[in-house]
Formats: sequence, structure tokens, C-alpha cells
Amino acid sequence: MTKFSTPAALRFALFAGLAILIGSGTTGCETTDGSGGGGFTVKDLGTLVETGAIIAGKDQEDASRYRNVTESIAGAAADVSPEKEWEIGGGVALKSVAAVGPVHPDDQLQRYVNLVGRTVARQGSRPHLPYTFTVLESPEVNAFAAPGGYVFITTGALALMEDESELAGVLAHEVAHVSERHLIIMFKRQRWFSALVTTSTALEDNLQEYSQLGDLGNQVLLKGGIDRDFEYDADMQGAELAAMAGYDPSGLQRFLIKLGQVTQNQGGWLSTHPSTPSRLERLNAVLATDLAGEGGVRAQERFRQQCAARLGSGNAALLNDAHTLVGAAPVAEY
Amino acid sequence: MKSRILALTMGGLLLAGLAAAAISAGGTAYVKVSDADLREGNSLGGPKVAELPIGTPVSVIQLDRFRALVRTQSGTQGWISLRHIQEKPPASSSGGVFGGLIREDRSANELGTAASGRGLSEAAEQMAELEDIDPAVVESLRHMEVLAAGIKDAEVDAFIKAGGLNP
Repeated sequence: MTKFSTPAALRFALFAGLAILIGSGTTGCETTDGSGGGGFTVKDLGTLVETGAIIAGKDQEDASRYRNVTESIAGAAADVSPEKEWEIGGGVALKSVAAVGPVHPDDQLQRYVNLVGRTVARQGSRPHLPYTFTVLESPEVNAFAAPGGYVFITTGALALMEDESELAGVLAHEVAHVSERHLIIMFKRQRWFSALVTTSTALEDNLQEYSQLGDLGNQVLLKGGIDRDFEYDADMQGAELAAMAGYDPSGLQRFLIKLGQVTQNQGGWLSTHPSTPSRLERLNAVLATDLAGEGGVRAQERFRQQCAARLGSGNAALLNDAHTLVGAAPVAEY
Repeated sequence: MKSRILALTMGGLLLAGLAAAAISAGGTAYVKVSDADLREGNSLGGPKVAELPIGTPVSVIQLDRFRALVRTQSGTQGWISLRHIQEKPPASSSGGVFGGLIREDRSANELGTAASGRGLSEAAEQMAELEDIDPAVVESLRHMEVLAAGIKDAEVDAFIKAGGLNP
């Protein structure tokens, strides 16, 4: 590991301080014209801190990490209204649904998933956001969320689950992404994003950029992956929110264990998230400390009646395959 | 060692302006979301005592793992989620060295968005048309927004109670 020398630490501190000061004065009111010459963006701030870290003797990996953290903090401060978030989320949602699979036609199933989602969302930091939880018909094991409260889960993911606490844990993970504005923070790294969302021009008058945003969101959610640190954060919050709602907090952990066994050749959560073992390592630590002793409800029977039984004959083979794998999985009991 | 301490100190200073101080029993906290539920018992689905507007100051009587027992200035007492209160008044009045970097909680505005009944935004609708996204996809998302908006809090309350989610 590279160590700071004192002068190097001072250089880094100067860079970081300068970056923060510049950032605090500009990122909160970005109104650049998008031409690239008029404003100091979150990305610029991150680059400055990364450069400072390298000058201070940190290796590239550490420097990138500092950049991510800085961009996260600064990005959270820039102004995107809830209405803009919802408008942006709609575009991302449309493109993602078109890419993943159709909305499941069973309204009772959709209502059930919404009730579980709303139960955990109440415990989050944005309980009044109008969340829409949607089941998509796709054998791929996946769940993802677009800004503004659009949360999606595939029938492939539901087929892996055995009880409501697992569903609650996964939905709570997605709720955390939405409430912490993780995707919005990543969007802010694009120089043109600030201009798009902070000018008074309506998004529908900038359809080309709006569509680009949809493509970018689609890329991040379904292919490229959200930042590793955001994923860890969403895992921790997912377990915590589920526990606060009265669910067994190990639901997300049990789902991740099964996920690791079935998605070696799939996209979805394995390709878009950090590796399952590294996520489980962190999650296990939280379950063994902060959430130790939280019993909670699994609601297995309600899940079977309201969800598993409603997935339909088209998912029967998938369900059987999943439960075979589940049987072989080292499911932890809490 | 000195350099490590210096680096950690700098990190701490940078984060100091951003981190929320801990809420403590005997102190005052402020509601940071709109219409936060104050409940009779230390559980999620128990009877609601009051809905507290954003910025409401409360006296913290007792802290639990996820909730706090609080009392309002008018004397109403109940349990509230720790995620819904903070030690300082909401950010619009927070300021400080790093005040420009601290975001304002916008939960109050989110009710307005929820109440609109939504559907898809004009931009999303126009993009779908421009890019020939399957109309069935657009319609199904519209349908889901209406379905979700039709689920009232009372139904969520009943769902929680039926599931035995209150330990």
C-alpha cells in the first residue's frame, strides 16, 4: 500500500480543499450552457481530487476511489427536483422495460409486490416518493431501479425466492438506490447533464439529450453496473430497511447466496454489481453486528399464495430449477 | 504514522461538515421528511398518533435501534423512525462551512408529485413515439403507475398487520 508522506498529504489536502471550496460554490447551482466551458461540474471536481491523490502518491485504484466518493458527495448536492427525477426515470424505465421484458399481466401479483415495496419504502429516507414496483416477465434474475421511484423485478428473480423477507430485502435494496439518488449522482458525471436538468427548458424540448440519458441509464442498470460502493450501501440499507419493517433482515443475504449459484452465465445482478462473495462478506458483518438478534417475519405462506402460485405455468420449469438449486444452496438460518 | 494521522484528520475534517450529528435521548431533533408518522407503539404498523410536518422540533425521550420515542411541543408523544428525524433543522437553514454541499431534503415536494396521479411524463411519451418504442410497453407502464397510485396507505397498513410485521 502506498503511504502518504507529510508533504504529499499536504498537497493532497490542498487539492481536496480547493476542490471542495470550488465545488461548494458552484455545483449547487450549475446553470452552464452545456458547452463545456462555462461551469465546474461534479466530474471536474472528482478529477481534481483524483489528480491530487495521485500527486500525493496514492495509486490509481485509491485515487479513483477518492474521486468516486467526492463525486458522490458533491453530486448529492446539485439540484435536481423530484419532478425532474421522475421525468428522467420515466425515460430510463421505458428503455429498460423494452430491453428486459414485458410487464407481467397479473394485477394481483403486481399489487402484492407493490405492497411489500411500500412496506419497506416507508422506512427509507424518502417515504413519500410515489414508488411504482413492477414485475417484468423475464427468466433473467434481475432487479433494478430508475430515478423517481420506478423499481423493477423480474419473474426470474421472484422464482428464486422462497419467502416475503427475501422479496422485501431485494426491493429495499432498490429503494435505497432511489432514495439515495445513486443513478442521478452517476448521471451528474456527464458534463451535459447539469445543463439538461437545471435550465428552464422542458425535457421534451431536448429529446435527443433526454433519450441519451435513457440509453445511459439503461447501460448502467443492465450492463455496466452502478458503482461498487453504491451497491454495498444499498445492500446495507436493504437489510436495515427490511428489519425496520419487521422482516427477517437475512432475506437479502439468502437471496444473494442463491443468486451466486444460478447466475454464473447470466447477466443481471452478477454483471451489474460487485461480486456476490464480496457483497455477502459485508452483509454478513452487518447481520452479525448491527442487526444481530433481529428475528423478524419471513411470511413464507403469504409469499407462496400471493406470488409463487401466481407466476403461472410459464414459470413452472424455472421455479423447479430454482428450487432445486435452492435446495443445494447453503442457506443461512437466523 | 504522522502522515497517516494527518490524512485521516483531513478526511475527518472534510466529512465533518457533512455528517449528521447523532441524535441523543434528552436532546431535540427535527423531522426531516414531510408528514412523518408518529405512532403509539415502537412498531411500524401501530396506531398513528400524529403526522408531523417537516421541520417539526421534537424532544427525544428514548432511543431504540430503529425508532425514537419523542414528544412534540404540544405534548403529543409517540414513536418515530430514526430515518425521519435529524439533530439539526432541515438543510435550508443549515449553512456551515460546507453548507453549499449539503442537499436539502425535498420530501415535502414529493407529496405534490405523488398527488398528481402521474402517468408517464410528456418527455417520456414523446421519446417513446419518436423512437418507436412498442406502444404496449408505454401503455403497460402507464397502467402500473395508475395501479401503484391506487394503493392507499390504509391498504398498506392492513397488509402490514395481516403479515404480522410488528414484532
